[in-house]
Amino acid sequence: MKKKLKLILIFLLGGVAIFSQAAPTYGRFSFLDNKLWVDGYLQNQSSFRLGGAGLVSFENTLRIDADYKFSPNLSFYGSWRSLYDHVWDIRDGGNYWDQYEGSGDTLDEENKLREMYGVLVLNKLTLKLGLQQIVWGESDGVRLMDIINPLDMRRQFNTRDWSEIRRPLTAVRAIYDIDPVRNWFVEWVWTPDFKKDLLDLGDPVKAPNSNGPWSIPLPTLTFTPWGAPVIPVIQEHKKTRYSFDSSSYGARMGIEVGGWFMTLNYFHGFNHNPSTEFHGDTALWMGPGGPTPIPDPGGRPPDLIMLNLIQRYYSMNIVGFTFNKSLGNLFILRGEFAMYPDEPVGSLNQAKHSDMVTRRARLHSMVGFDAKAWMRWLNPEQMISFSGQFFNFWTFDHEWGLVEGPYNQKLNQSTNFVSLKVNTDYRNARISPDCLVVYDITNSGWYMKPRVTFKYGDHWRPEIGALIFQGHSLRLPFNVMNHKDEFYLQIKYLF
Amino acid sequence: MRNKKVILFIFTVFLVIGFSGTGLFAQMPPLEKYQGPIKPGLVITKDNWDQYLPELKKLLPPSKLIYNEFGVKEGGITIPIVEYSKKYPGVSSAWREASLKHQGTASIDPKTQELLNWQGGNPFPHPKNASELLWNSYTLYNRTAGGHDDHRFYAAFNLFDKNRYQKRFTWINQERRYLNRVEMPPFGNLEPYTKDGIVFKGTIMITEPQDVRGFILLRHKFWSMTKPDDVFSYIPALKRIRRLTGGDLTDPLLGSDAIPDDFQVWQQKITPEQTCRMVAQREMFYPQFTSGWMEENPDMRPKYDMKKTGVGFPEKLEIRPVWIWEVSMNNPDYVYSKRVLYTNAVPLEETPGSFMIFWGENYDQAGRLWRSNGYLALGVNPLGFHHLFGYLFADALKSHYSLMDGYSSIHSKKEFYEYLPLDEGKALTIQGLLREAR
Repeated sequence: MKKKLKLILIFLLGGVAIFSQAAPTYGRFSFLDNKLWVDGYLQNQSSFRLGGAGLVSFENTLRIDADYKFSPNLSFYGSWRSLYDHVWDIRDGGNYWDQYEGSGDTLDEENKLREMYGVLVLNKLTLKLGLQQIVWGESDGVRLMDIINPLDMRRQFNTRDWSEIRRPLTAVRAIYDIDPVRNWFVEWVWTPDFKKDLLDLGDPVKAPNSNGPWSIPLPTLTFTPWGAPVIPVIQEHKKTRYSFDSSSYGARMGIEVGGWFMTLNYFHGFNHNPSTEFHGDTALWMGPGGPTPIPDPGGRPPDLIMLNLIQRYYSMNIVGFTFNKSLGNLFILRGEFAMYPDEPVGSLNQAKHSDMVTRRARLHSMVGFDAKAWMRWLNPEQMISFSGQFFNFWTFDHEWGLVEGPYNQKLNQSTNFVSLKVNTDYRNARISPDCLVVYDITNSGWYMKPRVTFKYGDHWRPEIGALIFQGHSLRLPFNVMNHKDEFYLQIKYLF
Repeated sequence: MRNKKVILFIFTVFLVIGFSGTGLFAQMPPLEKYQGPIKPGLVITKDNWDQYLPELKKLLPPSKLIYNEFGVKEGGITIPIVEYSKKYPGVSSAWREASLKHQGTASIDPKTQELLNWQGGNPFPHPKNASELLWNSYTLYNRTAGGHDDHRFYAAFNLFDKNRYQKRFTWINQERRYLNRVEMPPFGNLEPYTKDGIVFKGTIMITEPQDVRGFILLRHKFWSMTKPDDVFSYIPALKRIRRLTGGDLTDPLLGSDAIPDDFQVWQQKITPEQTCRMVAQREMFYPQFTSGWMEENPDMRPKYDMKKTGVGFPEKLEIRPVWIWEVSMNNPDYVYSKRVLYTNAVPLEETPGSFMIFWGENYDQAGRLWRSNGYLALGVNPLGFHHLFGYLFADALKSHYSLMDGYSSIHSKKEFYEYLPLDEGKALTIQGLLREAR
């Protein structure tokens, strides 16, 4: 193990040393008569879980970005990321690591295009074609209108910068600038590409040690009154990745009027996390010799109940409105409202909804502010930035039995979150602390990410940070992450 | 009756003293000519710096003296003193003509200090007090050293802790003025001003390094003295356009010693609570201009080599009359308590008259000299437009420097005709810049 670790470190440091010598001051690499520009970074991130768990990731990442300007009106952009997590090499078993041992097959490596698209500018029309991330909305930390790309939450859940964990989609995007002076534009998006959110749920075939360090626990096993286990048997109604049926589309218009920047949005797509339909149950009796089912022998209750469940990706429509406005010299008001007229939600009211899924109109809202304040005793160099948000998720036509998520947690008519982010810079932005706190008022769970980034020199960008989750029940989004608190050290080398 | 006269006299005296505090009736101070041993032809070097130090103190603003001493002694640069050149214009001929044509039409509201009935050019070609000089020099309206109707500018910001290099970033900066345009088409007042009262838009796009590449900042400034700036930015890590507060313009840009309000020495908004006063008129050092197009005159741009001279930028200085004046902010929430400004005092009718502010020293709210900034080298093109090659932002409290080394499309014949006047949609909107960034 130690040998491997040494090799890895030597490889990384050696590579970086070569880059350092080649480029003592920062400069992008240019080729083809300055038409092709290349840059990127090498990064190691080591995470240490608290509570005696120790090292849970040792990720080495290489990212390369390339811009090719064919002409002023035609350009191409590509971004590649290779990631290898050596923690599965470093930690060969051990008491704690046993539970994660099998997850390396799916989580230890990634080699993917993060984006690759062409940009064609035709007068006031800009066309972007290819694999891309499309970001709408005003809110941070909780997604309302930013729903086009799904997220990969298998590493550190959803706490990383979302540009790093959005799953890119092959899409056509057209932006028409009606009056750029007034920020007046119309944007159309169409993607035939369907991807779901990626959560680490482990592999039921390899259970129990296929769950990764950031896996979400499966719902606890339930039993009938006579003690027979109730086993969910889940079939996923898979969507074809590229098809007309899987395609999503939308449009938005933005304009600035009287200092208010506003957008109106519409999007037709699919939920990135499937809804689980109930399709009856199957009672099973076991023979005396083993687990082979036998016909109902009569006279005794079944030994096992199988719940037949189908996970389906429902289509959804979203109509949204966002705004921001500067109030005075130090305060920005911003807001985002996304109306889902037909959002699928779970229901325990089987008498009313036989497949235990129904649709409800839901309004997802955020009102927030960004403010700056001088606190010279804390930072004489520059102001402190504060960013606060209040989120409300309101379910219309609410009734008993509405539930959400894999744990069938009760869906209140009104669900609320608040968030606060504070940040500033010291020593000419060479030391940049920031802290984000998100509190789930409804479920009494919270999450905090304090971190400090060090920006010394042209190339090195180390960062230390922590992820702290709190909550006491099997609920999403934060409570289930309780006991996954960790601190991390990230060393990034820009080239 | 006698009592009334006494009261009236006392009242008048108080009134005069009170207004003189605002600078409204302060007369312009007479020129103090320099008569020491420093003459054109002398070269300031490491060896004679101490010898000439008492004279240099008379000729340089205090913060510039510290920087130049540093550059000469640590960076090993030499500073040639050159003849005061009357060859190169300080402003474009169109701007000078507009200034003289509309002479006498503008006035200043004594209560709000607002500029009234400004028709174009410098509103007060022969300023009689600090307030008139303020409106002449104000970089959002004056057309000097990059503050032309339009400009596009490339630079590297090299950050130094004393003489020790730390890091750098590079940018493209583009600006447009919407009111009283006489230098470049479209002329006159443009729609953003006539409809929304916008007098200025400026954009910054960061091109290096990788972690901030693609960061875009867009600033709108309004004619109204009470309306705060509108600020938008594109943050690559979020892949999203965010609105920023006007206060963000007083935070340092990416760890440098530059805050956007200090661009061109003074891009801060003029507000009613500010007061100004004249300090002196003196002959002082002023950065020398080079001239031509870069393609035709390769020596036009000073050759700065960071590896050889560190923070020391190659400068040539000439001696010119300079106004020294100060603006008090009277606002405890602002980053500075006051600015001391150094303005070219050569009359506008003469070459190179310009009302250009070439150096500024800014004091923190505790009254300490904090940040200073100004021009190190400038170049004028054959059409009379000029812009900078070297510029310094300095932090006196930390001995930290951000040295800007770059050139403008105003200096390049090819780029002048390719990029100017700017395409509003491409250069001054975030959507347009996003296309250029990627």
